[in-house]
Amino acid sequence: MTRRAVEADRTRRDAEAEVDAELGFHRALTIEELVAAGLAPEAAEAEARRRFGPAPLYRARLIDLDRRIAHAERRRIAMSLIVTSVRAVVRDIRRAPGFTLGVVAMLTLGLGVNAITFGLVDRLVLSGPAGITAPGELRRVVEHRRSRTGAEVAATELGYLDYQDLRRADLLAGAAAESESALLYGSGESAERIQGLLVTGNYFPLLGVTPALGRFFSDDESAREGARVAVLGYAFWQSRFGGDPAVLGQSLLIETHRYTVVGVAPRYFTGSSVARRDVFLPLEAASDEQVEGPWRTSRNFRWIGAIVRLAPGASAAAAADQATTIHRQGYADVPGADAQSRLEFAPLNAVSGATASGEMSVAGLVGGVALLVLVIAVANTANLFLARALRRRDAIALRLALGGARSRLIAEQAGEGALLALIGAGVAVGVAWLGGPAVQRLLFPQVAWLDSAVDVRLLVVLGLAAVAGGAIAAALPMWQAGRADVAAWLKTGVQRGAASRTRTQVAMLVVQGALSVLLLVGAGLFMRSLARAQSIDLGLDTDRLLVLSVLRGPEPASPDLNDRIRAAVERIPGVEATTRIAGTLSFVSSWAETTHVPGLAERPRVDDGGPYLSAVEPNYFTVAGTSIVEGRAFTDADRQGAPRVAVVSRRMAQLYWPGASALGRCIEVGDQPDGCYTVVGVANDTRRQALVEGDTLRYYLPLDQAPADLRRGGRLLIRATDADLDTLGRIAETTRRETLAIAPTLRYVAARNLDDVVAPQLRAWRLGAGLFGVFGLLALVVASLGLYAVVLFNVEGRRREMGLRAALGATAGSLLGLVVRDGLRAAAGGVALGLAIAWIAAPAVASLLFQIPPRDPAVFAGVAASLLGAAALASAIPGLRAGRVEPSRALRDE
Amino acid sequence: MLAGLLPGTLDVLVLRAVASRATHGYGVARWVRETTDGALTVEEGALYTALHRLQKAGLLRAEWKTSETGRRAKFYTLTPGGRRVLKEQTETFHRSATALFKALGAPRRGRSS
Repeated sequence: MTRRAVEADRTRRDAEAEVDAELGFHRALTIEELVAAGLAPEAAEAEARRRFGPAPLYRARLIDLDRRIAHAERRRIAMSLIVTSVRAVVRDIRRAPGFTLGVVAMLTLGLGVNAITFGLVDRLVLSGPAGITAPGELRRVVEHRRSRTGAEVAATELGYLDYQDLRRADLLAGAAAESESALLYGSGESAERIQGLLVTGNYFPLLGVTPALGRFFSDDESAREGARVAVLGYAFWQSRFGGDPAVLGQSLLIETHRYTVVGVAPRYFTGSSVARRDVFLPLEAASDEQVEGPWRTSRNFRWIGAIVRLAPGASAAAAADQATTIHRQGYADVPGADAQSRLEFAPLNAVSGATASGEMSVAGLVGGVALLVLVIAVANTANLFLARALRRRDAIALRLALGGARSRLIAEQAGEGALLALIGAGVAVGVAWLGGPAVQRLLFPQVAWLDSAVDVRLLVVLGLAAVAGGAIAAALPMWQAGRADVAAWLKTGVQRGAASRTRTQVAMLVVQGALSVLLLVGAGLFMRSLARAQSIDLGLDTDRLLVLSVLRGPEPASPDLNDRIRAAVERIPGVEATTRIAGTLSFVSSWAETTHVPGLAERPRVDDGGPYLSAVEPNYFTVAGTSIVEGRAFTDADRQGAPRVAVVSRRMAQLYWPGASALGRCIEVGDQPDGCYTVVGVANDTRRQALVEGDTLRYYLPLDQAPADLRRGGRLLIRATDADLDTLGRIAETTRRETLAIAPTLRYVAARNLDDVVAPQLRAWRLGAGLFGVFGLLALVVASLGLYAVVLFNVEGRRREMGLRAALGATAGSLLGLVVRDGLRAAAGGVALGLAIAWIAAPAVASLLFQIPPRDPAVFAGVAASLLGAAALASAIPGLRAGRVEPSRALRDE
Repeated sequence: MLAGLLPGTLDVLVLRAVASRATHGYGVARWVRETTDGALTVEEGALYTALHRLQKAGLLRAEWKTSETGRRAKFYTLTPGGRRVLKEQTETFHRSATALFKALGAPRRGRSS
């Protein structure tokens, strides 16, 4: 039976009993009267029945009426409670504005944090990508396999043939492929990078999307070579074309081809993830340009992700097993492939596992952290109400003595708390409305956010949270008190001196302290990870290097164009030097050639592949800031025709010639090598593309001596005199302008600071450190204020004791020590509990950290010390007051 | 249900019955019988229905108390709202009765104001 049904049933039984009792009384009196008048008992009973009329009919009618009366009564009580609460709040605002403000501020803080994070967590984790039909049936495909070096790999990158295989699994309703790609849109001054998603023609029907305008491309249209059609993202259509339907049929210059717009995707549709998407292109047509090689027929190209829809009734596990079988058959003939490779079907918006980015996992954490902040706020609010109850103890005791019901008192307090919390929730919604979008875009700039951070669900969730939190905070002190005798409890709360801290107060302090510790430990771990990640030796001065990217148009370029651009760039103030580099450039591009080292029995392998090759000018190592650890760098003498030389990375030297010097060794480059490059130097290691990556093998050749196709290309690397952001920004802008002035027909020109290129990789730690840091500090402040209030309150209550101690010769210093020790003792419980919980919980975030153990002693000790320090400070202020108590006055009091 | 009573009259009678002091249903029934000298006969079931209906309308308040005979009984009292309605209804009845008597040519028995 539901609660409501139980309630109704009880009401009915109560009503029946009452009506029967009332009518029974009536009948008995009537019969008594008639018997007294001389009637025989039987006759009296008959007469009574006659006077009453048809009893069953009236009885039923009366019961029905009574039930309605009971309902109305309950409603009336609830209404009067609301009225009482409103009155109490209005009275409080007038009489104790500080208290009201404190409670509302505290709850606004807790609720506001949640209002903002709700939209965030909802978009990233709960709801996932928008505009998709039945997203619960969709899965992202993850391949688990062993790499050639034996490492476990879990990756979403698959080959085109893997996608074709998936389409054959009959436990799937379908499979589609996607590949995200930054694309160059437009030309010259107006050229920009946009976010493209390359998708197969069946992608839109598989996800169950209908176009906002026009049509999507069809499967055969997409698969046909050279089908250059485009579907625009809704926001892109709005911002670049003002939402004009005439966009259909227009042709847009994307990368090196013109694509005809055939449709516009529905609003907020961003494919299978929540990242911003400006344009959707046919995967096959675009891949012909972007992937060099026989990607349609070879299993050696992995660049697409696959999305599958489970067939009706099929379980994800069974479908994955079937797909795995087909997948392994496909690789049976591929040499070196892992025969035990396995496919996994993961939800689209997973917060953990191979498909979840660090940022998504952090987003999941943020939701939990926001809830912690709310709990802390509620705990602190409870302390405020408790302090008020203690102040008003006389009035409350009087009311209870006069027969007031404790339940009514609790209900009134709860109502008042809920109402104050609703005010806080209102402010919080306003904050989320105004500030939510900005915070969301700041934290997750790459996500396509909904236009409003506030929706009905948020209002409902926040309203419920406010009512529950406010009511609990306000009623908890009373409820706890009432289990014993409220009046007695309120009295002892003040008079029992040192033991006067009530259990509730202590519990609240412990909860607050523990939660603050949790948040601060999180902050500490993320901050240390961020610091570690930032201090990684990247092997080159990314902070002051800019890389110039230039894309030519179809027009033939003048032969001296590069030299003219370089000369112009070198004249820009703030530019220290420039150098030209072709092939591999850290974080920007990679280049590998077949490399052979004569006399080496087995070529060392690392997961990263390679070795990767860079062709550089003699000044490269100075300009980039990559130090030479052994031998020499290149010189101007290492030109074409001179003896051929090479510089290898330290790791390559160690792996290729372990225990021996690399200098003087021979490297042969290319499929048909025509002689040795003699190693003349060993350079410091540099990263290839990620901050966090395994060993990477690299070597450098003089640009003049490099293979012909490397000599032709290359990028200009610019070194600024300092790492000042203004300088870097000015150089980037001037470089772009001057370059376009020299060659107006260039498709695209951009000078980017290498730190900016690397920055997105730091985002998860930045996010974690920032969020935990802010929330942790808030928690620390709130907890300190709570402790301060409690200690202050206790000092007030112990004036007499303090006065006595002072009269007996205690110094102000010893009284201060007494109070501070008490405060520390109260805080210590929370710190201990918090550290214990953090100790248990920390390993859960280990995967999000970088080179920091989840139980990092430095973080734990630091947090404990800072919390106890804050506690000492919070109790020292009231403690000083205790020291100033005048013995005579204190003893006279009370 | 009720005989010889004008429509709406029962409610006013019941209100009047509990006007001076808290009374249980039996007391109300006896009062109606006695004050009208048995001229008005009302089924007691209808009387209770009226009591409960008036309670639901908020004109009466009910409370379980010990009766003069020592038994537990449900006592009814007028709420401020009930008292107001009783006053209004009484005046209305007087007015219409006066008008009626006037129309029927009976001796005037208007209110002395």
